[in-house]
Amino acid sequence: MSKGVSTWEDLRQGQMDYVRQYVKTNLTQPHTFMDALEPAGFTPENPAEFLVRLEILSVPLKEHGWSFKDLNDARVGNHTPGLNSFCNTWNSLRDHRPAFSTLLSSVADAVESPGWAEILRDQLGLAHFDGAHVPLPVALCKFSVKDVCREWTNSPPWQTSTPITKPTVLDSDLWEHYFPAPRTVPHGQAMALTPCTDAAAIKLELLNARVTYRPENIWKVGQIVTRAPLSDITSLRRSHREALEHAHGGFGV
Amino acid sequence: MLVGHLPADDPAREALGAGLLEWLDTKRASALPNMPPKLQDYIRQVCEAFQIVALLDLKAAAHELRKKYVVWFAWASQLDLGPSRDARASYLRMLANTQITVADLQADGDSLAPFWTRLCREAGSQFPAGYLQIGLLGLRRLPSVKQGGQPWIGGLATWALAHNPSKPEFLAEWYPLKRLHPTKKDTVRQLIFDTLSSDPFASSGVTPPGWWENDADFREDKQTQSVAPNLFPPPKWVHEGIISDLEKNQSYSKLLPKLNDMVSRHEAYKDATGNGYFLVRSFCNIGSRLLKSTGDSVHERARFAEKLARAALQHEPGNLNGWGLWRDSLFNQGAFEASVAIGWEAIKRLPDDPLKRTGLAEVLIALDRSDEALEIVTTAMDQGICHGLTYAIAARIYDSKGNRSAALNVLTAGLKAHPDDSGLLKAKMRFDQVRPLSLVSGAKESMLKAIVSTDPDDTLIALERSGRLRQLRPRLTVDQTAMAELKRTLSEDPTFAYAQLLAARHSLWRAEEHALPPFAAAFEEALAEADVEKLKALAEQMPRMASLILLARAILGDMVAAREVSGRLANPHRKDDAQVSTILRGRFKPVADLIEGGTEPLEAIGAHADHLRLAIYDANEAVSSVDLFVA
Repeated sequence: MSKGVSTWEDLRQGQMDYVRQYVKTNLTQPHTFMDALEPAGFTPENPAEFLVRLEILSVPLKEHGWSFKDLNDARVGNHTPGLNSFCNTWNSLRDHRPAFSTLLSSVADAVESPGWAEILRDQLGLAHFDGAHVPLPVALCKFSVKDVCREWTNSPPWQTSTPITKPTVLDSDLWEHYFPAPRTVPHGQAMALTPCTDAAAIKLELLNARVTYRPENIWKVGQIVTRAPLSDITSLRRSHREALEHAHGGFGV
Repeated sequence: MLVGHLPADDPAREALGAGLLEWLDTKRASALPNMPPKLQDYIRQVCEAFQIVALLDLKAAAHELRKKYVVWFAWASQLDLGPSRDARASYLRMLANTQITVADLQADGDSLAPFWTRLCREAGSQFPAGYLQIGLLGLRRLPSVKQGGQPWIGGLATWALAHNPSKPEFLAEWYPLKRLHPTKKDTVRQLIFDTLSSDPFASSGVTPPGWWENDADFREDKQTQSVAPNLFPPPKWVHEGIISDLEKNQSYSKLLPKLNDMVSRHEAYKDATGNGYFLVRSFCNIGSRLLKSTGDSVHERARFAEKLARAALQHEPGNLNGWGLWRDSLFNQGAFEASVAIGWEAIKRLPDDPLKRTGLAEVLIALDRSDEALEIVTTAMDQGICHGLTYAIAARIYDSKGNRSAALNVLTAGLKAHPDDSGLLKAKMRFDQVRPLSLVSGAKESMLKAIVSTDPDDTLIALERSGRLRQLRPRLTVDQTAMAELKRTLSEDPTFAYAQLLAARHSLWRAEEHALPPFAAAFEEALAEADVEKLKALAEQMPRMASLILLARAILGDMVAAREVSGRLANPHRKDDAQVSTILRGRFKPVADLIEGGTEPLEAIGAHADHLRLAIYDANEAVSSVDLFVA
């Protein structure tokens, strides 16, 4: 963080500089997973558990020269060479920033629904997934906890004992749709795009270290064609905070 | 997306593009951050700026970034800290993806094609291996691709030539492209063949299908060929590729590998199966197109066409097209006498084909021998072996001599017989407009300007020698200088078969003076001496000349021979002397008509004796000229 933070703008700029230089990086290990900084690591109860993450495909498809249909056709036809080629391009565009994900068990019902992409968007608070004017191609990527651990726990010089962590405010740009979880909760709590009425409906939120995607990690593909629900952000944050306080007896601050 | 859905000319889009450009200009003008964390973030932002230009198709920004390619490429090339922080790669992808967007602002929308090919070649050496994907993307996004063609095949081959990938490595790059651009197998094969038949692949020894041989589509062909080699005629794409190149005026050096490949395939099929049908037709077709093509190496093209013609005629000596092709290919090489000689051979062997006559007439006109040409076409008209062009040529010749009334008569007669003939109609129109008729055909005139004569080979020398003697033939009975020249030729080369034949015809040669007198000359001697017994003896030696000998006996007054030859020539299914009968049958028609009308064969033959004697001469010369086919 830069020195001389005396205004909100200074803070905002300082946060942005920090995240872009030390978190969204490809040169050094992101601070999110640096053992020396003692991140709040998360270990699922079931080591065979899967993580899922909703990815926007606009840029990788464009850079690879594919349309959404090309990707869909390759998956339907199980065209491994094509999918490998796409993954190679996609992986080359991705740096090592922490990735917001959730446990498959947390969103199993949503994943099985026909409108799974929009449902997950709304439940996980992904307000920037807007398909109102132009269909937004997305992929639901699935990877195991083992996959994440295998890639990073034995890979010097960036090996880490905490490749999966609880998100903090310092792990991404300042964003109104991010809400930190109480200290007593071992994982994040995603703020949905609609007002929360029941804490039990809040979805678990994690950060995982980069997984090099292979075709089998692209579990589902679809298109979001609607705008994200519009809610008053203040009301949204208030209802979310109240639900968390009610469920966990405060934030432990 | 905030602006992605807006029309291209929306002010918001334009403002974004202008803003991005200004931001990039500012970044380019300022010093790079020297702290690594800041530098990698800086590069990330630059990459995203290029990605936004491509993603949102910001035309003005894309155009500007392409226009000042040298500046932007040099700057972006410095900004490379690895795959996800490679501004050069982002810049190049932006260029690739916006080619179509900015095509209307470029003099040549495909002008980046050579660069993309270079990128393919140097991916893995001068550029990171992943740049192959960028090079292929650039080729896939060329504006001209919409009209057909798959330039990425060339890009992939260029990469393979430079890097010698393993089979799995090559297929890993090929199969995604193949699936993305589904095309008929034959079309893909043709494109691959076209690519690998050109430089630098052909000169590097790569033979089609090259690296694609492990593609399942080609594996089938390979297996089929290994199980039953050459039991399939060459596929259509072999010829279609050549025809396409000829239509595009491809250079001869690039055509030649494909031509040789076509020849090898046909010969292999013919050797394996004994079936020369496809070879003959393909050689005549391609040879004819080769002669008509424009471009470089006129002589070489004609030489190759001649090779095709001779090969076709070896398999099918009576092929109409083969003879015309041979004649014209000699003309195009500047071997004029040889061309005329073959022209006469063709008429002798195919007396009923009007095209052989008009073809030779065109050659003679081009060589300023219009009188000979006129004799050919007027004889053809008299014999009824003519079409519209026969009359048109006659009209052109008469017109060139100032004989407008003869020209008009011929045109009128021609249009009466062939009222829909476009050539005659055009000629008549010109005539009515009091415009001269062009004497030399346009095709021959163009060819005369393009011909570069070279040293003839032995076959051409022999043909030209026969051609010169052939010119003497009609003059031998009336012109002592012609006779003197014949004698001189024979004394210089006593074994010259055609000279022997002519000499025997004019009682200058004696069979008894030779241990093994050739049949053709012996026959001429017997006919000249009107020796029916000698002719009967020759018939026992040469049953395949039965009709010829019978007709010769008939014109000498042999009634039995007259009846027998009439029967033979009336039966087109006789096989024992098919070649000579075919030649004689057309010329015998006026006699056959008389016989059918009730005239006795001997009387009918006697009424046309002079005409039939010429037919006998022509037939004898035709069937005895077998040495012309030796390549």
